[in-house]
Amino acid sequence: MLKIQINSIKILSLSATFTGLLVFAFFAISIFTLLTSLMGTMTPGEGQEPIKIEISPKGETIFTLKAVNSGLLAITTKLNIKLISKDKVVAQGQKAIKLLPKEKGELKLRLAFTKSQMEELQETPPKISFSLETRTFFDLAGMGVSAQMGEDK
Amino acid sequence: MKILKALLGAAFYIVLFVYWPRLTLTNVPSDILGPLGPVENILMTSTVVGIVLALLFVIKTLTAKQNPLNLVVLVVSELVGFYVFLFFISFGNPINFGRVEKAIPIGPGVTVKFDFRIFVQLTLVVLVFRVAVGILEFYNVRCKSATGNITK
Repeated sequence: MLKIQINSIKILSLSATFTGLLVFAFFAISIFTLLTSLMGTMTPGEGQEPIKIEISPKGETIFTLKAVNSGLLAITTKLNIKLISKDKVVAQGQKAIKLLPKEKGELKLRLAFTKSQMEELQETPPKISFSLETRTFFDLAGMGVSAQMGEDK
Repeated sequence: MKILKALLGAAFYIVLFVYWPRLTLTNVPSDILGPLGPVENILMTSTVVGIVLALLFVIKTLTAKQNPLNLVVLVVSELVGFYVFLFFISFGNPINFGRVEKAIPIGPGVTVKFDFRIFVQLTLVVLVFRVAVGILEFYNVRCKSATGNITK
């Protein structure tokens, strides 16, 4: 009886150590995946901007982001863009992409405007607020960066 | 032999938490460490933690396994370990519980966000598990000692 008790306590003790090591390993792998993927997406190469902005003939503004997963776990990269003019959100959009390890993908976010909005934006160029977030470990851990471009007049 | 083990363990904690942070952090440019808060605060916390962990290790090594002090030291060590993890993962502000948003001085309105709440929760689960196993081990050793199966 005592032997069974000792063995079960030894097994429990080993499982506690193993669980601790497993959590630490997943933590390290997640940080590595998030850092490498976010850095890879933010710095696509020399002379290249992370987000490409185009205006289509229909008057849509298209934001293109090339996302990469340089890590060891699957990631979800989310791009959120807001156009702010006179302290009001004129347009906003959000797009996400799931990438397996060593996979690359493209995120295209289209923002459409009405004629009156276009005229207003031409008068007062908007401030672009973007946030890029990468999540991993079943989307439970994440890292992101947000910034603002242009000046709201 | 026990004294040697206690001294070596204590030296390990002192090197890891007192000497090593001083050696590395003082060589890192302050604008990189900016979002982490003042370097002095980090060094102070790390020094206190190092000394506490070294003392706890010495007490744990030098006391008998059936001594209640051994169990108390085990629980306190686990709690201090969890606090250290929480302190560093929350960028020096444990109340954030692993979710941090910091402005960085590389451009206007540039902020970075970190969300590691899941690892804080998992570490908390591991802490409870390890403390529970520690209590079971302690009672097991006490039972064996009471029935005369173990000598001091």
